[in-house]
Amino acid sequence: MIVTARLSEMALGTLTPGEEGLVRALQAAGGPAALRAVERLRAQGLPNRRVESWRHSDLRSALADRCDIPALGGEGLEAALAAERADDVIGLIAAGLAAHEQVLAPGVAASLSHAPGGGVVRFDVPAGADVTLSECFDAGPGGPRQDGGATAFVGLWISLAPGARLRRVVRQRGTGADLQLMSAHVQVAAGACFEQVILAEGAGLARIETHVDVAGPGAVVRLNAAYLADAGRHVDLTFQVDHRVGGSSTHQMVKGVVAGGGRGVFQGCFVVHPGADGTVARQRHGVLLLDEGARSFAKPELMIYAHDVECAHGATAGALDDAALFYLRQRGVPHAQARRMLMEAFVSEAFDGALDEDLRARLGCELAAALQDLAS
Amino acid sequence: MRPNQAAQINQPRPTKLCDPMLTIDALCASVDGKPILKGLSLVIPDGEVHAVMGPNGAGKSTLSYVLSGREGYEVTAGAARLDGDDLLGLAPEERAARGVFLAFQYPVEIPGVPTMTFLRTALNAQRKARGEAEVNAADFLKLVRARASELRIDPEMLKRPLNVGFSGGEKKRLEALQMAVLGPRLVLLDEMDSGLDIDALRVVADAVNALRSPERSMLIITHYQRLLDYIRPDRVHVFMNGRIVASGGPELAHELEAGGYDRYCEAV
Repeated sequence: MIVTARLSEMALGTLTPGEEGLVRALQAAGGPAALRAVERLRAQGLPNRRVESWRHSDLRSALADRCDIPALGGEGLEAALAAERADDVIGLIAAGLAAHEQVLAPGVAASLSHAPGGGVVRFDVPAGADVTLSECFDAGPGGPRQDGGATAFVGLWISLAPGARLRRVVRQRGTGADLQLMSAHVQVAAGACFEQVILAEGAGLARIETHVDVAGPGAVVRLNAAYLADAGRHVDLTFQVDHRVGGSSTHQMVKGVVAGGGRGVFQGCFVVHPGADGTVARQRHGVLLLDEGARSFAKPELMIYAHDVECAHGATAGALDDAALFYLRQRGVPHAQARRMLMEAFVSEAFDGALDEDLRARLGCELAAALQDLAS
Repeated sequence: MRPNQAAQINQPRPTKLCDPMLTIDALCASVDGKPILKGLSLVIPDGEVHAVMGPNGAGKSTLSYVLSGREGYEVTAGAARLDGDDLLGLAPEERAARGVFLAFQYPVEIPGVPTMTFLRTALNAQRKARGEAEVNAADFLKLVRARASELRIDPEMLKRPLNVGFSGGEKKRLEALQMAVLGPRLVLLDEMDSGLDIDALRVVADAVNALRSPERSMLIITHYQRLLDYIRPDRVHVFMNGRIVASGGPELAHELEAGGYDRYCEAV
C-alpha cells in the first residue's frame, strides 16, 4: 500500500492519454511490479516506431486514446520479474497489471483464455511430460465491445524440464478496435521439445512475441505460424530464439495473407551463441499480398557466433498467381472460391508437419473459415 | 444418386437446335494494346473437330485464351457465341459451366491444392452453376477411378498436389482426365502434343478420340501435323497474322507439312 500511495503522487508528465490511463491502472494495481512498469513508462513511454523492434507496430499510437485498462489490484509478481527482460514491455506491463500469477497445473491438456486487462501465467512442464496447451484471446464478458474495443497484456513464463514435450496452440482474433499483446518466454531444457502453432487474424493491434531460450543439447523447437490481416487489422508475430548450447534445432515456418488495408509484421531473430556448435536453425517466411494497400514487413535475422552450424533463412512476398487463378476458374471454380483455394494452399503450409493430425485438422478448419471472411 | 447416374455425370448436355456449337465472327483482340486477333471468323458445328494450324506467333494461344476468358486479353471487336449465346461477356467459370474446356499447353502447378479436391470442387461448381445436383464423394471417386484407369493414370498420382512434380506426359494425361470427368461441350486443345513422347501422345489422343460425340465439338490448336495423325479433324484452318487465311479438309494438314506456311504469307 505504501508503494501505491507513492505512485499516485507522481506527476504524469508528457504521457499520452493512453499512457496516463495505463499508469493509473498500474498505480491502482500497486506492488513492486507495477512500480517498475510505471517507471519504465515514465522514462521511455510506450514503444513506438522509433524503437527498432517496434518500428512497424507503434504501440504508443495505437494506445494513445485508450483509457480502458482495467485496474486489477493485488500483489506483484516477483517470481516473473526475476526473469524479466528489460526490453519486454508487454511482459512488464502484464506483470504490473496482473492481480496474481496463474500457475497451470501440469496435465495432458490445458487451456487458457486471455481476458481483457493484464495477465501473467507460469507453466512448468515436468520432465518427461507430454502436454498440449491451447490459448485464445477472450473478448471478455458480453463478447466484443462496441465502444472502442478491449486491451489485453499477457505475459507467459513457460519452462520445459529435460525430456518434456509441449505443444502450444495460440489462436488470436480481435476486432479492429482491440489491442491484444502477448509475450511468451519459453525455457527449453536438454532433450525437450517445444512445438508452437499460431493462427492469428489480427486486431487493431495484435502482437504475439515468442522468446525461446534453448538451454540444453538435444532440444527440438518448432515454430509454425499462420497469420491473416484484412482491412483495419494489424498482426505482428515477433520471435527471438537463443541457442545457448549446441546440438539443438529450431525449425520455423510462418505464412501470411494480407488484404488491402491490412498490415502484417514478421520479425524472426535466431541467435546462435558462441560455442553452440552443431545447432541447426531454419527459418522461412512467406506472405501473400492480396490487393493494393496490403502491407507486410518482414525482418528475418540470423546472428551466428558459433563456428559449426547449419542455418538458413528465407523470406518471400508476392501476389496470388494469376495463371493458377485462371486455371481454377477455367475449370469452373468461381473467382472468390478459387482465390480462397489458393490462399489456403499457400498458408496451410505453415501447419505442415506440426502437431498431430487432429490438431492440424482443427486448425485447418479454422483457417478455412477465417479465409472465408478474408476473401468475402 | 441412382446406380447408373455416376456413368452419366460427364455426359454432354442437350444442345440447342439451329445454332452451331461455336460461332466466331470477325473477332479482334489485343494484348497490352497490341492487336493479335484481326478479324477471325470460324464456325464449328456440333460434333465436329476442327484444327487451327499456324506458325509460331500467329496468335493461336491468344485465340484459346480469348475464348476461355483469360484476363489481359481484350476483345476489341467481333463476337463469339456458344450455341448461339454470347460467350465473351461471361466470366471464365461461367464459360466452363456452359461447357468450354481449355486443355492447357502448359498446365499450371498449384502446390497445396490436392488434385482430387480440385477436381471435385470444379465438377460440383460447374454442376451447381447449371442447377444440377452435386456429386457425392463415393460417386465422384468411382467416376475418377474409372476414367483414370482408361488413361493409365497411376492412382497415386491423384494424391499429389495439382500438377506438382508431374512430367510433361503426366500433366497432359491429367488434362485428359479432367476433360473426361468434366464432360465439356467445347474442347479447346492448345498444343496438346507439346511435351509428349509418342506413347504418351497416343494415350492422350485415344482419350480425346473417346470423347468425340455428336454433342461435343473440338478445336485443336497446333503448329505440327503430327497430332492430327492421332486426332483426325473434320476441317483444317490455316491461321496467320490473327485470322484464318485458308480452310480445307484433313488433307490440308499434310499439304502444310509438306509446303510450310510461307505460301500463305501473300494472303496475309
